[in-house]
Amino acid sequence: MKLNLRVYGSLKLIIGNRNIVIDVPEHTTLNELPDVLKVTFGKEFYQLIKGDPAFKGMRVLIDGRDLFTLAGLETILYEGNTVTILPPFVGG
Amino acid sequence: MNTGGYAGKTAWIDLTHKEVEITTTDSELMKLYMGGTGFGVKLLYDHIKPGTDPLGPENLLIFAAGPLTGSDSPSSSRMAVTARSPLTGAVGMATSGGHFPSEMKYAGFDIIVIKGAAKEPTYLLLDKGRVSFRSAKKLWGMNTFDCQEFIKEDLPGNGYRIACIGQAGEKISLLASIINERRAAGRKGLGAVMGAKKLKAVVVRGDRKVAIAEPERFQTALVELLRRYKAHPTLYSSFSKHGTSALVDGTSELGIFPTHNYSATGLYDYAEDTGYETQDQDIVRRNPCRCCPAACSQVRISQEGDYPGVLTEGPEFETAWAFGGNTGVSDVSAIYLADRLCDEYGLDTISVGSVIGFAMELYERGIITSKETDGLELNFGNHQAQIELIHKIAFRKEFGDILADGVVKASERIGRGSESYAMHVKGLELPAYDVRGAKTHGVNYSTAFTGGDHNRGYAFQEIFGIPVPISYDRFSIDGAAELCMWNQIMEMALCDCPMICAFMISEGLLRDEEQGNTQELTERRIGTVSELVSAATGLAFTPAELILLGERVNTLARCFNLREGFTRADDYLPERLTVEPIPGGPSKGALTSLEEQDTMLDRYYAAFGYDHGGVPTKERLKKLSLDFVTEDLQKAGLNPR
Repeated sequence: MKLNLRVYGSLKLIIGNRNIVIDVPEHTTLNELPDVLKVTFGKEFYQLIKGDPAFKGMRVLIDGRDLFTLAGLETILYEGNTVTILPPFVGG
Repeated sequence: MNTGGYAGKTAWIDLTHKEVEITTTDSELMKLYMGGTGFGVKLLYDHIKPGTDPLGPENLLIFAAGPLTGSDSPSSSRMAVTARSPLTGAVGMATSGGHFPSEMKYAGFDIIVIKGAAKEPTYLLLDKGRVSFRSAKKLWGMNTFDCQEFIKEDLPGNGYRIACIGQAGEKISLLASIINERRAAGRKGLGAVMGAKKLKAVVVRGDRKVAIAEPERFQTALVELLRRYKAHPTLYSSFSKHGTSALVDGTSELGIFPTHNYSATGLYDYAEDTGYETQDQDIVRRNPCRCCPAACSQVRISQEGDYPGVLTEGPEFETAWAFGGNTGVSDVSAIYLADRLCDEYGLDTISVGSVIGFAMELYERGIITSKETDGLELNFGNHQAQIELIHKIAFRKEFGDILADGVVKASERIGRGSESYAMHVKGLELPAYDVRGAKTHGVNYSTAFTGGDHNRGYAFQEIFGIPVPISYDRFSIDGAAELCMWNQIMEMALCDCPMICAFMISEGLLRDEEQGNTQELTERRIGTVSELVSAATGLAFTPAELILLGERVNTLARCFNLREGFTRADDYLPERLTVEPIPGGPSKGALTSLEEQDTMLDRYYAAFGYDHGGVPTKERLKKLSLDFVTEDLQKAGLNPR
């Protein structure tokens, strides 16, 4: 299935694009996404997002929603979802 | 036990009669209101009569530091500036950081209360405990940067810190701010209050130290707070590096970055052109507030665009929005110039950007034409026109005079249905979050005692994704009112009374390395501030006391507004947000209907112990030690149940 991936900072530099459409297996969870993306984008990309837990220190949104309003890292991704990975932000 | 934290003195300054009285800072005030905003709200309530002209001599202008200000407590060099706002008629309070607040304490003062109006331009010098009046005739007409330089050159010795107004304050623009260094007590027209008093500047210098009542306990609390900050996964590695600019990207990704005067939320373009990646390329250094380990404030110089070579401290997120997405401008150098000009003229960047966005929408809709705008073509994206309007607003020239007092006054002057596009609550222009997609933040916009203000109870749960004290879905109204109350109380108790930077509390303390949101963890987080303030002052600010204090100050500020005639009707969002859904992006379709607002307001009032009209009950007033308010409300024709 196809997902929209939106990335910032170093992740964008590696991919060379802000927005990219990616193919992932059906029923991929967010927790599984780093391993799936490693195949496409390589080790450097993987190192930035794998974390413990996955995506530690990053803000991840699915269709603009925070993970804690979904099923956290166990959230299942669906065709057409937009996954955004960006640095946490603060201020106002 | 020793007392500490406080400088111990309050300066009462009468500009009309050139009289000064220095009193001991009231110990009851310390216990019940702690400092900063608490001091400002209580003194304003006690010392000005209902109906006082905000621009008249009877209005007070109050600078109040907190008990931690000037100490080794991190990110605590902050003050609250309070007056009756000429922009809203409500409590006008804005906080500011930098070095001035600490220096005020070193000069010997917790609070500076200024009343009256000078006959000639004046500035005040509070130097090592002494207060003097000095002529500001030569300073009148200067921008805030030059004014600060001239005063430093004029006075003997060094070490002075200065809060002043620019030309906008002198011209009594209701969008005028008070600038210290390049920090602003920006909103609610406090610069106009200062200008109406013909007060150009307040200068402080001191050589005293802030005493700590229980040094060992204070040190332990300090170490604990700094440990939490250090253990934070991204506070120093991300926030220190980018400042607040990444919010352009973040709110765009959430779909709550409103553009074109709130008519086009949901675009990604502005993240691309004006977001943190673009702004990071222009950073030349950081300029921290005193004793702040995060040092988020970035100094930038534009490299490209139509205005290369513009140096500014900022722009903060709100400014990047106000002069960027909100007016359709995507040239980041134009935003830097707008930011710098507003700091120089002493103008609030949020309200100025908002009133320009408002004018642009009117122009695009044909409600106003270039005949009324002195030939300016106010299409969205016209950054030359934006810059021109900032000059005109600062000097009240031509069309700038129409806009210089904010969107409510501008829409009254223009008429022709223009009020439908005036984005404000209680007369204060809305900031940079489209609250149709952030319901708790929306309750805060509508109920904050200062008007459409993001700061009184910032919903960091929705914006930053911090699930403390609960996990909350920003599209749901269930729990929004109660969460807003929690935020407003916590912001008051943990930030705006002790005077600790809200950025550090929301990110560094509340989202610490223990990412959970259990009651125990929340209490431990609140306990860190409780320990710090209690150890500094020697007063028992227990976590429970802190929470009560936060509620007390919020409710007293509300009572001030009720006394001035504010009602439930003033606690609603602009109509546009209730009938037009967000048109695109990740929050597409989100809306806060009138019915939803009514439900949330009822719940918010119930949580705070207010009746259907938003009037506190006698029982709740008593619980908060605000019994004295009951009679005042009765005199105002309100009858607390």
